[in-house]
Amino acid sequence: MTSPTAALLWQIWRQHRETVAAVILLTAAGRVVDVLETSGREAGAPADSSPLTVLLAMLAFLLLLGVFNYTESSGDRGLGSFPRRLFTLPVTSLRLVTVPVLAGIASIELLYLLWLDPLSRDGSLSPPFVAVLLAAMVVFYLCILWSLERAGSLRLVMFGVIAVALFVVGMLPTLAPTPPPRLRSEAVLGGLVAGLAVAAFLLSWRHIARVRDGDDRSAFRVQPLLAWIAEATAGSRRAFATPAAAQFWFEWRSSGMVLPALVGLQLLIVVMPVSWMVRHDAGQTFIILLAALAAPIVLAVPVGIAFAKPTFWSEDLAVPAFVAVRPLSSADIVAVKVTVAALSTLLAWLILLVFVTVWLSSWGNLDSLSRLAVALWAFHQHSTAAVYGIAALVALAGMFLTWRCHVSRLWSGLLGMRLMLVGSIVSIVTVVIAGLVFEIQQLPGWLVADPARYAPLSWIAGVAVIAKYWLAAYAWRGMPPRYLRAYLLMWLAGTASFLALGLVVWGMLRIYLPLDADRLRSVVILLALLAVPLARVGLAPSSLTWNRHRS
Amino acid sequence: MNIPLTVLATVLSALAVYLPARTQVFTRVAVDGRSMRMLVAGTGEATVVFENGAGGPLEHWGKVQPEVSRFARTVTYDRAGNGLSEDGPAPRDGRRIATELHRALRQADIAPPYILVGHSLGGLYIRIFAGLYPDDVAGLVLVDPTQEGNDLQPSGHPELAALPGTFDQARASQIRSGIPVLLIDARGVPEVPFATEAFRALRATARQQLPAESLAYKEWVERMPGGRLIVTDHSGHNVPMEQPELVVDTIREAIAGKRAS
Repeated sequence: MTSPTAALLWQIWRQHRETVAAVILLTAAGRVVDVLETSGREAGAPADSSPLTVLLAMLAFLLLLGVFNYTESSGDRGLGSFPRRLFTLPVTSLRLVTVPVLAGIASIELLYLLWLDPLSRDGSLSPPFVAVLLAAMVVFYLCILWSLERAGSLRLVMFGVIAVALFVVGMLPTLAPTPPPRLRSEAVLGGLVAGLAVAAFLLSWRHIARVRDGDDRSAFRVQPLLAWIAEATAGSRRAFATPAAAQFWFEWRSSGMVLPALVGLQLLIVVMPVSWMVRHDAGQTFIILLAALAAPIVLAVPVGIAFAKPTFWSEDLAVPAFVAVRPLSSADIVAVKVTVAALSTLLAWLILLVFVTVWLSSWGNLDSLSRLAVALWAFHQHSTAAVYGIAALVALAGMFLTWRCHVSRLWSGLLGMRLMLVGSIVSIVTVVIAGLVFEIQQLPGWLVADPARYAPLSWIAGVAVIAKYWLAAYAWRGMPPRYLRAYLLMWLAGTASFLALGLVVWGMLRIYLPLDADRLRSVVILLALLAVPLARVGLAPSSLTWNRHRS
Repeated sequence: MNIPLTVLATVLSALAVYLPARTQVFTRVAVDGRSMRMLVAGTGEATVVFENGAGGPLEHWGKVQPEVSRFARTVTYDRAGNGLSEDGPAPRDGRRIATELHRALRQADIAPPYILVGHSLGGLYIRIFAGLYPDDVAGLVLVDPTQEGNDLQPSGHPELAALPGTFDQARASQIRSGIPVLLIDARGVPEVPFATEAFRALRATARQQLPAESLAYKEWVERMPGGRLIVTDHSGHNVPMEQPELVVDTIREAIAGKRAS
């Protein structure tokens, strides 16, 4: 090697050349698909890129971020920290940090250039603005990876929140009124994001330099604050009344606050600024409200995957000896986890509902929501109670859906078999990809066009209900009746919420759309019976027992 | 096996087998080779035929038809080009629509006389039907109907594009005297909850047209020997959804009027 910089770049290439090849292949495939679709399009048809092209582009960009995951693992953590062995190189810390950051920026800009035509076809954003956002994304990504290493895999969720924030920033100039006011112009937003990216870069550099000097503390000096919060919220210092109470304290302290914190974070950095900027646009209020309500459910998916493991912050799926020797049965431990998930969900939704109340009652533009409420009121024979009831049902069903995402993978995570956990994650990714490829937004229209099309859906749901409840009867054998009673209450409340909301929606759909109302009602009832996990939670204690005795 | 959950699984399995088998039975009739969807329900000496407003499927009568089916035979259908019926030939004016309905009823073996119920634009169509087939009609219920001269914006929808012709046909249509003709004039609820200032202003503008509409309804009904005007302040234009019980009661009254006549 002629220089340390070349050596650093060569190392990135050497470690990730297969991934780079995959990025090139995806890009080539995406461009071919795009050319074929564009040439086969009728004159006057919409010029947007197809979902398949967008999906291939997304995969290429995601893989590129994988290439610049500039960390190395140590111990049981899957996502590591800045490679410590590089500290021995005869180069400054600034260069150690700058080389991967600049290489990442150059690569993502090159990739964007290759995808420029299909991704900028609608012409809503100027390419330089998108290029600034992409460069900033790479800087934030590396800053989070290097500076928050103690957060483990949760860094990916944090990056997800930042990526969503950047996406929202990218949307701001396109919102009405157009052209946007100066505060929402591409120049101002681009400058703001670039400034934040420079600050993040400087923070990363300072952190790496400190670590290199032997000071291994986090760049974000929140440790004293966290210690103070822990001290203040420690509660009674008396001995725990039961081993289950001690286990609850342990679980809550290690993972209970993660979902509420993430929900609060996205409200603070995404929803609040955006809702303020578009406060004069009634149509946007409704869209932002929907996005805010969906956020806990979406965030509960990655949090639920981490929560399903025996230890939230570790990539090791074996039960730690510390937990394995507790004087608690596996059912006790699972019951504690289910309770912690419920409280975590409640807190997350409490934060969300308080925010929504403050937002809508102060700076929210209520015109579109008012129309919706009046339409619901008129449809339900002028009943204000019905409108409030529907709003309460939406919140309740959202809470149960969040809690469901939190606990539904316990059975596979506690089993300790990586293949099972990865399999359940892959199933989520597959559903998302399939949804994009097959343009899932067109599914309702396709179903409505011919009622015979949802006949198979009702039979599939019927078979799934039979399989679920018989598996539940098997999985819950030998479990303490008190747990079954308590969980059945939870199941009943959740199922009743989904059923009530489903029937309310069905009641409206059957009046407005040409449907086979009876069959659609059957589908709604069967889906409500499938929504709350029963068999999977029943299987979790036996999974944990197996893993516990293996440890 | 856990006993309580085995019981639950047994019950829900029975439900899971029963539910997918439940389905609504629609009648398909062919008019000029084009398929039209119909929902026939209930039994009774009277046959009530419902005509939708612009663009809606037969499901718009979903709150009314099940109630009326308790005491009469009821027929809702998708006009050609609406809901799940195939497109019909142009122009889609009232006379063509009334003729197609007449053929569709014959195809489905639904014998006259009919009590015709029309909402909004459907009000014009049942008036034209009553003029074309006077012996087949035993009563009319017009639910906040469109009137000749109403300022409807022509759109891409073929029925609205043909509206000038439909207005002329409705104006020329003679309704046989002696049959009950009941007209529901929905003036809208004076005050609505959840309304913002902008929404209230919009409603106030729309309500300015109400007195003229009500006067026109009154004058039209006074010309009908068996006519009666029913005014409601408890519903907006979508009476079948907002105040279905009023529509049901009015149909009941029309059936009673038919018996009396």
